[in-house]
Amino acid sequence: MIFPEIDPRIKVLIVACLSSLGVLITDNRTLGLILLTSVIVALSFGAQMMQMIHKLKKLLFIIFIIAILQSVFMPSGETLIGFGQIALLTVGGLERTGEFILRMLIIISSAAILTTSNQREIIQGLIQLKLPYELAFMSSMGIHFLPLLAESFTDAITAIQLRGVDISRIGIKDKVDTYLYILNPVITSAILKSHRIAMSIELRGFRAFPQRTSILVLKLKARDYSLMAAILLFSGIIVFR
Amino acid sequence: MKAIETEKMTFGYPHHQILMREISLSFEESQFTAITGGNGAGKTTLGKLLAGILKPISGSVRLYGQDNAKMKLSEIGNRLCYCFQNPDNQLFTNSVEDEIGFALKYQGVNSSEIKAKVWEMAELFELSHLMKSPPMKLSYGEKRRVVLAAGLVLEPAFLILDEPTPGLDQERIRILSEVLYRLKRKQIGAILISHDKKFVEDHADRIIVLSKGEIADDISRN
Repeated sequence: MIFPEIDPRIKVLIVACLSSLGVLITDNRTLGLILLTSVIVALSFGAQMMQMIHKLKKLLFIIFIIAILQSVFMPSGETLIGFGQIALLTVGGLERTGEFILRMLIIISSAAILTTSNQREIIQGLIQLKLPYELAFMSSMGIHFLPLLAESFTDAITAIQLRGVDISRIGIKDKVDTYLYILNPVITSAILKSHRIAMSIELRGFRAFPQRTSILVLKLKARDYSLMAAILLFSGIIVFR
Repeated sequence: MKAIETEKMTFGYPHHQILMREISLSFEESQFTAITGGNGAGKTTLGKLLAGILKPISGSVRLYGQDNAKMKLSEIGNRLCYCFQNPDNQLFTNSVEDEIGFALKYQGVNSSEIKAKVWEMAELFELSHLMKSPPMKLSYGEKRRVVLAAGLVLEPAFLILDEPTPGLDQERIRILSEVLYRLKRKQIGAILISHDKKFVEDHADRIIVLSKGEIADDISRN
């Protein structure tokens, strides 16, 4: 880790800049440069990229399939592989495939930057960026519920298998039906849990008022200002080059 | 015949200390064994290891002679019924009726037979009036009964019940006891992880006492 303890507001700014550039830029070479930058930044902040890739491998596979389909269904330019009148692989299609994959990877790698700060620091950063307290608190609760949702889903899958149903062997239609089937109770369970948490929070006298003070107060240091200047300069060069 | 057998089974979560070291146990297929011990003794962890939900870091767990590390959870689920301590972890459908009949549908049982079996279980566990209710919205005791009904409807060869009595009133414990007696008469064995002393004494042929992940006592009551 080259940059420990960077202010989370700077990380939010870096993520906002990199992901905005990823959406705005259409040139594959520049997208490649943005991806390289976001990976270097994520690694230098201590992001566990390999762990993240492992966790997201199914999503990456889906991105790859969508990219291939995009290439096939949106042909343009010179045909590289064709079947009679039908162009299966074109130069334009390939370029768009590259663009889509690079964009998705930029978003994923820049999101990895945020994982290097804990949830409490990010929320405090958002509050100090003058985001309304209620919204910051809602984001905090939302982040809190993501692992709970994932856990409920995993529990449901384990419970299904423990009843002797081999999900990997059932047909695609039944598999989709099963996943849809369990989605509703998993969400219901999360909502019920959120009711219980809300009740317990209120019973402890907590109210999401903007006047609340905090023990944790973030202060920008010289290296934070340097990084802020660097990312703004980088974004400016990319946009106005 | 041995339903479950462990040999020098050691377990710990990644990057954490070892929770169980070289546990060797065997469970007869028609025997009722109770696993007791204080909070944090490792009862639920042991139950999950025996059911193949957790995998040991060394040693082995064999289910009817087969290494459960090489079995899919669905294969294990076809041989034994595991009921979690927290019923919320095991309820995933939109109605009690669907919950009880879920696995039967995938076993190719025809719909009229599913309905008959589901209603038989519902009547046994006094769930008939809740058949259309979402399981998530039931009381704790009702959820426990749904989980038991959904597990027992599959007529498993062996049961692992993690704390089956909390949340059940005396009448429901009596009903559960009757079901267990009936299973025992059919030579179906079980592991009962429980703090309920009376329940354990009523049903267990053998009591294993766990303490800090080790077997503190192993008492045969035959």
